[in-house]
Amino acid sequence: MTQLMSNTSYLQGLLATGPNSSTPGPDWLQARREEARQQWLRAGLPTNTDEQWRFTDLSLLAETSFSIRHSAAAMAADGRPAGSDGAELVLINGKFSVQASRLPPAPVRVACLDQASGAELATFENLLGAQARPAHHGLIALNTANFSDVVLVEVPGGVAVEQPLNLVVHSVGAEPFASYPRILLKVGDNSSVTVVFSFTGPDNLTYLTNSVLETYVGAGSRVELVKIQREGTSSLHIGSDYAHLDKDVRFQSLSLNQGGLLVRNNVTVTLAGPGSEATLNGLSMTAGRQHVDNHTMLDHARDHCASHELYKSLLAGRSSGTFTGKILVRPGSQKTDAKQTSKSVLLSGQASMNSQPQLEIYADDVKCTHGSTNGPLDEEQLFYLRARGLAYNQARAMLTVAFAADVLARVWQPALRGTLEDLVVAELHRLEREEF
Amino acid sequence: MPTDTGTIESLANKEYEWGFVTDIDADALPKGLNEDIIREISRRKDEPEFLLEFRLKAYRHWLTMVPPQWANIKHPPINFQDIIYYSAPKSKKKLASLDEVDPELLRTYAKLGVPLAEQKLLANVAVDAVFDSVSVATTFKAKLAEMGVIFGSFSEAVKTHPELVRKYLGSVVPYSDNFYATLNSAVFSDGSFCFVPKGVRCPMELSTYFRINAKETGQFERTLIIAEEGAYVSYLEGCTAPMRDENQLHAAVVELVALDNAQIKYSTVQNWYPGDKQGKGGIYNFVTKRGKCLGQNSRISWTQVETGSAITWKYPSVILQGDNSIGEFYSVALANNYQQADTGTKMIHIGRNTRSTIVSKGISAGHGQNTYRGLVKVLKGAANARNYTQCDSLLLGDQCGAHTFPYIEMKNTTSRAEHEASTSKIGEDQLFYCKQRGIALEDAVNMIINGFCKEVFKELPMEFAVEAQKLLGVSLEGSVG
Repeated sequence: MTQLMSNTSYLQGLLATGPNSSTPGPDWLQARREEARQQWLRAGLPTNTDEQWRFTDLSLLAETSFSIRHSAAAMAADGRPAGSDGAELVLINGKFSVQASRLPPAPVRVACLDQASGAELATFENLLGAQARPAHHGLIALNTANFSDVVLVEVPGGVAVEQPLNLVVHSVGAEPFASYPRILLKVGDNSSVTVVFSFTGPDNLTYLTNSVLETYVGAGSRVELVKIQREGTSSLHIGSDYAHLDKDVRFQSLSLNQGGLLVRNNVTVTLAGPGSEATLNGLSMTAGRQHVDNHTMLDHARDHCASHELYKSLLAGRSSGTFTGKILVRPGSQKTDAKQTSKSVLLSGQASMNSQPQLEIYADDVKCTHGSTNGPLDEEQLFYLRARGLAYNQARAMLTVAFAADVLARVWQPALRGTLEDLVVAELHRLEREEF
Repeated sequence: MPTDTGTIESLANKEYEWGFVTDIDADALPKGLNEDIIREISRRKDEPEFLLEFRLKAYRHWLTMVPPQWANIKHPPINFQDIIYYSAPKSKKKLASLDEVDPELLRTYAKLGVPLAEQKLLANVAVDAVFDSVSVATTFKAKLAEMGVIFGSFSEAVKTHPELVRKYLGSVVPYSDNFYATLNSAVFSDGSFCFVPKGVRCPMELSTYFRINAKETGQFERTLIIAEEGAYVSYLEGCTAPMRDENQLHAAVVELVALDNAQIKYSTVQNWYPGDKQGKGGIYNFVTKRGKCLGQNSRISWTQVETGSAITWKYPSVILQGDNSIGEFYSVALANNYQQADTGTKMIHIGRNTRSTIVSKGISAGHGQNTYRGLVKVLKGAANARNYTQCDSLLLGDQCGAHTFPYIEMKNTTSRAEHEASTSKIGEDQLFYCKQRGIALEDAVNMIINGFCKEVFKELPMEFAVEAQKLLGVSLEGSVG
């Protein structure tokens, strides 16, 4: 398989699932795409011998031949998360669909690279790929070479967006296909916004969603990103999310994983200004043969910053999970306060979990801790509940919901929190039905 | 506290005390490595055929390997052809007793504080001393033999008990294990061998003292300890080397085997020459240590105090194969000046009800980089396995680094693994509190550091604990203030 992953004709085959090289666009874009193409042909897919990808086997991706991306016209906007009445931006197979979207009110702006010109085009040029570099890993290179469109959501300075902004990424098709959503989010100084990303697609079909998000947060802003990953049961989802925080920023992200067969989330947050605070939360609920790999990197590039991380996994069936969290404190980043916690509960005898919490610290006046626990549900807690008359399954359900609840409790928007709680409880019922 | 820095510096700026060179005739092979050198080592040591085969098999495999790059350490590439693989103090005839050992050599060990001459022995410590590549003397042999304990140099054991060596050599660290272990398997020259028979509780602490003396030599010792059913042994190891500008390579292999109900306690105080303040010279310490809890209810415990070496690359591990077996790892690692330490452990849970405890304390000062790297792996069959890991790092100075890279792999649902890590510096409030009570700054710092390491020190045998505490005090150089 390793051989296949570096086989040139295979790599070129995947490249062909993107736009052909004659796609028009400004020179800088052509140059960046070409660089990404070369990088992809050089690096190829990461394999298990790559330290960062040890526990995630991409051979399924290598075994599938994906067709050219599906035409956006054939889309019907179904499977949208209920209860969202705010603005909704819809991407179909990586292409922004104006018809299916409800655009947010001014001053929030939405733009596509396809139609951009003038100052707007300059914004794209400045932001696109400034964080997500093709050299990071092959899939970023592949996305950069292949994306069919780039969506830019811009919240200008001094604006508080009350309603959460929904961004739905749909994958639609009938045969194996690949899509490459590419999103830029730019928040000006002293603004606040919550963005909910939902990823959905058809069940029982092998398809690839290889998405890249780059977020830029200006000084003094408050930004919350919620990612609800509900891809189809046989899909592959690779998400690479980057955030660059200026000074005095409050940033929070939640990654909720329930769908997909093979899922990898790369979350990279750079604390680039003093006094900022980043909170990264994650909750994965898996069953069957699902594999979810959460990979986070917190880069404390400046002093007086804080970060909190809480990642939890509930694993049923034969599912497997990985958590890798790195906290990097660069030289001079004094007064850093970083805390990372990862917890997982194995609900079945066949499930497995790998954790790699990592600290890399080059400054002395810091407080950094990480903790990681892996194990079954506590027998004593189960016994306590059963002694009070709860059935075994009820007791288990209660404990799993409680385990998941404290991740959701951190969500800022109360209405959103309620929606997510309902979603999680329904999902836990599914796990329970499947096998305990 | 800039005014106090000077006092601490003067206190802590003590030079490496063990950096002298012993002027002694050495019988060395030419530099470089090839099959002829290996055959020659084997011939000089008069080894049986199977050992030569083992060496050659390892050497041929080694040729296909490349040095590992994954560790968080930086060093120029090592020229493996520029090393002397065998150097022995020249002796004219076979030694019958200690009196015949070169007096210069005895003086060296006396300087090091190794109680080699029996009359000067600390009570209950039997010593095997390894000088460059060969073992020079073993004390207390007769008393141990009475109990049936075999303790002595590896090359001697090869002659007297070839069947034991053959049975266990490479059973824990196979010849193909990793780059440096494979190199060791090809060229190892001596080391200690210890066999504790069934039901015997070894009456004294066993100890080996390692010393690299000759220039441009590498030391490749091999230690093998076997505890049969119900046996108990506590083993200590200490190391020093002269101060030299060039880097010297030390690639050892230690294998421990514990059968049913046996217990092995292995303690190390490693104080190889760490290089000077600019990071010049020093020992590259690339060591593979692994124990196998083969039997039920067996227990292996590693305790290490790593203060020396320019680079330490060392992961004493335990394979918990027998049901109910226990693995422990207690470590204090210090990286000062330009030292780099990438150390930790691996606990592989295979048997049921296996337990492991990991306590790692890392101290970084100056430009030192200290990394904890550990693996806790619970395999499918390891029902009710339990692991607790704690690694704490203390940072002294703003140029140093402390890193933690644990790997936790769980394949069994009934098992639990916990990992906690923290990184911090000595609190201003703690120092203030001590100073307010009339404790001088340097004493306060020493006290806090000793408190930080206490959990590990208490696992060391008494004499070693005292030595380790002193060593830590000396090795820290004016890095607090």
